[in-house]
Amino acid sequence: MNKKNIFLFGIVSLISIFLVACNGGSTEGAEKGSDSDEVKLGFILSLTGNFAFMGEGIKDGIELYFEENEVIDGKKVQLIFEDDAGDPQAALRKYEQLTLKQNVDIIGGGTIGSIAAALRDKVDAEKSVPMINVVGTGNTLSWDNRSDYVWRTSFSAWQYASTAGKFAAEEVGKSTVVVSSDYVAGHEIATDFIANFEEHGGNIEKIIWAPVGTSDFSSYLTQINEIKPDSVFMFIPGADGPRFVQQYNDFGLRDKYQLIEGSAMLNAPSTIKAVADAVVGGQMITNYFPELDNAVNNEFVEKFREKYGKEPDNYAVNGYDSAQLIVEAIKKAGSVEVDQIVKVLEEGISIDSPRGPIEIDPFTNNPIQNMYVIEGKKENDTISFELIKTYEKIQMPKEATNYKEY
Amino acid sequence: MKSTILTIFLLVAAVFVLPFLMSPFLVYMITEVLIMGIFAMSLGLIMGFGGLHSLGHSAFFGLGAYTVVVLSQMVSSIYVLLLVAILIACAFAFVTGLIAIRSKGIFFLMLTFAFTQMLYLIFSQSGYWGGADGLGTSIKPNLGFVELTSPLSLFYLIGGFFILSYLLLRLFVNSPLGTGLQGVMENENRMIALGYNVRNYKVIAYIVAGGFAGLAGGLYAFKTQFASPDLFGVHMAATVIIMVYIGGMGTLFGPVLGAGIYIFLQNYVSTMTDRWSLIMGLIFIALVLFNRGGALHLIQLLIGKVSSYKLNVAKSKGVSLNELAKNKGTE
Repeated sequence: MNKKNIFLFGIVSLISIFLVACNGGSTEGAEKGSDSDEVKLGFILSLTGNFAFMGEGIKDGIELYFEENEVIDGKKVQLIFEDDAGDPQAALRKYEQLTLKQNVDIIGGGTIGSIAAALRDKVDAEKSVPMINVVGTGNTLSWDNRSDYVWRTSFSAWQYASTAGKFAAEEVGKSTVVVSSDYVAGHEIATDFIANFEEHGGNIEKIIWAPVGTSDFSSYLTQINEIKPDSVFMFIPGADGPRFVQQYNDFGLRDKYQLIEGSAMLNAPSTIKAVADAVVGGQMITNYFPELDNAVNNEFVEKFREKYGKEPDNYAVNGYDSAQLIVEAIKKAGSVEVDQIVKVLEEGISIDSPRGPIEIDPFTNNPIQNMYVIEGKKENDTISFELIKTYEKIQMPKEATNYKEY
Repeated sequence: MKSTILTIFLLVAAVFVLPFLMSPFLVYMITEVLIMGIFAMSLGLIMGFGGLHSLGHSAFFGLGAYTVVVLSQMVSSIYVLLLVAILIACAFAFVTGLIAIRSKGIFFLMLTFAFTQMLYLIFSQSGYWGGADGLGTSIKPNLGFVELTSPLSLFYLIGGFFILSYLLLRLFVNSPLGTGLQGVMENENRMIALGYNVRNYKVIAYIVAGGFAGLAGGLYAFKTQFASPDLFGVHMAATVIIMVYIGGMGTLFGPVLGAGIYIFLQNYVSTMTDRWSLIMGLIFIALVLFNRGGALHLIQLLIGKVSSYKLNVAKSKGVSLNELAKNKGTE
């Protein structure tokens, strides 16, 4: 085979791509101009990869809600789920697919912070669809990078960490050691925690930055044992977290220094399965936990168990509330026009969430919600979590804080 | 040479006509295919013509993308941005190439992988350039006399760069330098015995490949207006190797075809099911097992079969191929 032939085949293959493209073009023409008696909702979630457990939870919550609300204002809801595999670049590609090809009316997405940030920039630049940020907790999305077109239904890092800081200083003791994963969100959480802890009279003894992927925490635990603080604040999401909790217990620190967990992983079924009794006595800050006693949640938990055969987690509730917010906004606006939806959201919407009543704050595009402190308990060989304190209606500051950054 | 001109002509015609026949989303997809095509061609150059199997080619792509995104806060000219992107990628290729090329095979692979991982850690851990969250920009390609804002103009711009890259790489492969490089791949010892400085050939090819990957990365930043450390990830590096393999190694156009197949498959399969990676994996295993040379060779084989069939027909009738064609015309 000489070179000339290879060129020829190159040309042939190009033409074949060309033909495929032509075919695709003609079939898509028919899809366009979607009939107006349908509402198309597109969700870009991390359904495979490291963050799949988050994406799956959100999807469960969304599907549960729309199972009972198939029709909004006489329009049938069509759900489209796309997988970004935890990659912001893939999420941007799916965004183009949903807006250009499927013509969706509202976008949901942002399972992790980097994807939320990437999608936010795109949505804000194009202003063609509103976006519901389902998780992405970065504070800046409420402050400097706030967009009129992007609304968060989960929570912000500040809401978690400031509550944790206040609780630790007021209820546990004035000295603490902070152990945090060494990455963007870890630094953000530590900054907010430390500022609020010190504001309420606390004193930070030491800050430990654990690299992501740490499996042996023994040197850090030895240091903690020498300092003898009142409490230890940990923010270690992912697979490292349960390892830390296990080793904290193995080193005998569990009964000496109060463990306060800040990434809502302590009560996750996977954590309890991995470390069992080690979570007992640990305290955790969260905006939701399945044992929460209110009418909406009791009903939600029951429906969730029935459909999926498991307990709902924070992500399922985020998905459920995202769906609820979308439906409320469309009903109130009476249309799916982007400007109408944004206008309605800017007036402030309240929804009855399983996590208690929440109100979407038009100044920060973030929900005003209760924060709960819960503690692990063991009764008759089953581990459950008990509410020990509620902080009501935690609202983000309207302007960026000027905390010292760590 | 005549066929090169013909190919270029056909490419220009295809790029010009395609958007009129496609939906906006397909234009977007083909834009991505063209960018990844440049990227895959550059890796195809060192893999298929130099025998250098690199698992670190995403380093240059990522550097190109980050250069454009970071510098776009200060400069708006596309010429400056892309030139700097290419130069930085070339410089990184020069430094790492000098070290990595001392080893061969799996050791070369691991070294290039290590360099990319270093960049991944630097970009995801450092406080500058957005850290693990990545960095966005609002830059649009500014040609000096006109700013390209529509997706269609971006398609033409990237189409132009694609054709230019193809032409330049084609010239490189056909040049004495390129043929020397192929000689090194086929029999390094003989080339040394003939007095060639083998290492220089490899390093130069590595730098050229790095430069084109940097260009692809820069163009990618114009398209997505966003760069994140994932660009340096092992996933990206492996993806482009797969593109080269399924398209056809040892050819220039094969990797482009591979990029097209990969991107379209991934997009359509992942829309159909959550278990898309499993299906993609099975398809790739099948492609590697049953069509050793890649998709381009498969097409080659099919055409070869057709022409040999014609030859047989001609033989049975006792005439030459030309006469057979003439007879067909008169019948």
